[in-house]
Amino acid sequence: MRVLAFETSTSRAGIALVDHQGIVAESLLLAPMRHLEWILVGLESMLREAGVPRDSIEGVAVSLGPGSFTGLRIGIATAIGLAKGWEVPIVGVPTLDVVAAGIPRDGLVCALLDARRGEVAAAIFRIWRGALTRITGDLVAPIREAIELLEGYEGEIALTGEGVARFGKEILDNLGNRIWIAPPVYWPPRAAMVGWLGRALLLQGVRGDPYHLQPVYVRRPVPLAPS
Amino acid sequence: MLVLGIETSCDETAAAVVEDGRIIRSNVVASQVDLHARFGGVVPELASRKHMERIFPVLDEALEQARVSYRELQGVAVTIGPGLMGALTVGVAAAKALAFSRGLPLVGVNHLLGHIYANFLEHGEIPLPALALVVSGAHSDLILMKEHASYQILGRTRDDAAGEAFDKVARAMGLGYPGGPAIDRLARAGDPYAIPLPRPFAEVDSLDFSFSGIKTAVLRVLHRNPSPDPSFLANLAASFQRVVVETLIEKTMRAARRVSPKAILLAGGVAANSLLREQMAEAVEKLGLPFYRPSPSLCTDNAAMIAACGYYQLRRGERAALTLGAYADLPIS
Ligand SMILES: [Zn+2]
Repeated sequence: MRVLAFETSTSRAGIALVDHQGIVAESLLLAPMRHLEWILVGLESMLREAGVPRDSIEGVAVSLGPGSFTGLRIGIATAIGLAKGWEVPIVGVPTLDVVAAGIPRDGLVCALLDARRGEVAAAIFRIWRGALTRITGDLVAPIREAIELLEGYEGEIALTGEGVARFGKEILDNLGNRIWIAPPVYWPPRAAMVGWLGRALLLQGVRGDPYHLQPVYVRRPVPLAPS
Repeated sequence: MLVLGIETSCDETAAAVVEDGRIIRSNVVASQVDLHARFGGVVPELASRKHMERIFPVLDEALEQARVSYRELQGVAVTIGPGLMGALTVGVAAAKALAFSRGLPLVGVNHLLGHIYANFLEHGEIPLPALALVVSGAHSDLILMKEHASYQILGRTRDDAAGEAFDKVARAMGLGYPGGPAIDRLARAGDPYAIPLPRPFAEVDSLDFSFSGIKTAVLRVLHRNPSPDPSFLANLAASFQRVVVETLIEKTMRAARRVSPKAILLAGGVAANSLLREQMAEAVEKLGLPFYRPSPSLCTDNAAMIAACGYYQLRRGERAALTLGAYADLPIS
């Protein structure tokens, strides 16, 4: 099954085409925050350069966040629009799963994003023989709570995700040599991994509902409703 | 030509199918007004989220009501600005993906021109050049439409838009949001000459508007009368509305004398105001010109007007590039 994937949760958007052999093509937006202007241009040139006809795409996968709200809305609206127009199935993939799946070794993995306002978005996974299992929901909280969550698990934990840049040191200070920090090249969510995980879901028969595929918002749009 | 119109520039998620720029096959508007009312205005992030939740159900509903499939569409027209950036983005992304996947021609539509084209949608061809007054929550513009692709801004607001003044005054009077319809209703029970208010920006030469002065004057009146009775409020609403409407008409007439148009058009959400509709009709009649205004339901934001405007753009061969974006400020070209 050939799947087209979108990853727009960060300032660097990506698109990729994957099939049973892995990555067929992948393209990265170089100018930050130009998702809307670039996404179809990037798609068209990627398909053309890879020599892949549009009608060979059998499914669409999209990263759901957490991440940049506007970026996610562009990625998801584009993915749904294409899936509708091409009449192919669509599936959403949580971004923290995409980040964790990039870790190339077995064991516990914590994927960590900077949720702004001093908070992190984090989730813990277990990788066993290369297969990813999520063992917590998305935690959105001050870094202190993420550290407490990690303290509840035994053994070495691999730490990855773009939140490491800001919060890695604090976690290291608290959990010491139980933490292995993945090299920065593993941190960003990649469209190819969105496609790889999404393709597996589609092959299992999972179908996203275009009316209900929405970004994962880590917080409410306004702090309080005035009475 | 069957054109799908998409509009998400503010707080209405809208989609419509229009045939040949004239026949409304469907016109679906999912309003968020109730959602924003408790904040007294549109909350941008909230609006973006609602657009995202509703855009595809609204699109499908528009096609279903029109009894048209995506395969039968011949063009897509989407509002690209001016408006709220995050809100516009949702509609533009969806429109681009649908058009790209189906190989349909796509055009980006200026929201303001969309309002003007609500008149062409309902009344067909209109003699040009035409002078258009576009008044809404975000705009008070006098636009000379020379041809279908040629426009000139003659005047615009230097501060608050007319609709914005209505909203702010209504809020201060405790009438809730949106303010236009509430003031229109209340004013019917009041004396429009009861409370003296300054005539906004009556500079002789300029065709620009300014409504912040009269808004401030109304707020001052309310401040001096901390517990107004209902008849006082009705008088205030009527007086405020009269002065705003008189100003809009006076500037429009001044512009008409200057540019000698063949028709005068009214457009935008404030064009649904009953006093403005009546008095503008009378003033234009004195000039001996034809006067056009959309039905009230087509004055407020909708996608049928976007499809109608897009139809003219498509017909003259316009095509949006794949790099089409959304533009919070979009001048009329
Ligand atoms: Zn409008």
